[in-house]
Amino acid sequence: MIPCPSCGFENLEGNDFCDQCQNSLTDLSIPQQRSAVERGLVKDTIEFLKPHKPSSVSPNDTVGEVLQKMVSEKIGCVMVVEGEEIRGIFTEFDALMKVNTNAASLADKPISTVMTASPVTIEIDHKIAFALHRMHVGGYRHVPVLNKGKLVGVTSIRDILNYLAERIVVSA
Amino acid sequence: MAAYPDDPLIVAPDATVSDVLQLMRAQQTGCVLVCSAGKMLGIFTDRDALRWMAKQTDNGSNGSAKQPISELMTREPTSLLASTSVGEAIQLMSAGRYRHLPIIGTNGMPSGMANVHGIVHYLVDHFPQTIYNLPPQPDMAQAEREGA
Repeated sequence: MIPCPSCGFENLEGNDFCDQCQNSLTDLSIPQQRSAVERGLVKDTIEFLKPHKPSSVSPNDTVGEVLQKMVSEKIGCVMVVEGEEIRGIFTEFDALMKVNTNAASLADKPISTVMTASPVTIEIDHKIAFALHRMHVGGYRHVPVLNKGKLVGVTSIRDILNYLAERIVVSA
Repeated sequence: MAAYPDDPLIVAPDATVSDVLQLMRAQQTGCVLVCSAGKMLGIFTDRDALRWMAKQTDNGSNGSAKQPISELMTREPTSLLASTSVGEAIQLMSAGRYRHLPIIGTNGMPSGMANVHGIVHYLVDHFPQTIYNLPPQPDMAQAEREGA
């Protein structure tokens, strides 16, 4: 067995990469991960965050319908889905950037004209570290969660914040 | 509060909704503070903007673009002091489900805006290798071990 220097997982002899955290086992200069939070981030999968059930709309639904759905359901983002495939995402921020003061004139236009097409997604069996990386680097609040290409949920930056806040004791 | 606060965007209470929305779009920010006479009166976020837009698309429209922002803002929002710890800010943010918290300076005017992205940035700084040195694809590892 080769213990991974990064996460401590016991790998089979002959592995080049760790089966758990995917770091190289041959590169001895890789940084050591020490804290429990860091080990958790490369071990726990997105499933652990219990992604919320997504609210989905069809690409032909109008902007007005979608805005009202978001207000009445108290949600910040809807998935635009055609069949079982995700076409786009429409969030509060898209509303602010693209609809803005033209809400009344855009009300009858299909949502597909203002959504963000082909959003960054993540698979449910991927590690939380990847979701955090995508949100942090891309500045997203929501990342749709797929299971073998099929939309199963959405994970938000709030879920990640709660996950981290539970585990990190922040000093003043 | 060291968690990467943004500069606050300040508007007057008599600014119209359409001016504020256009300002938010131009600045690409999700939140403005409404201040008058050296005092913070309220906060207007993208959620409030969404409510207003939804009302606009409704046929029995009862909101106009000329409405002053002071009618739509959230009054007396929860705020932080410059001396508040990041831990307390996170507590407030998760408990109140806020995404933005204004930071009030010593003169009573907002000096910054703590947001959820800044806090996550701060937390990521505790373990940069784990987040920034990830393998390029999340699914490079084999799901099952091969052979024997």
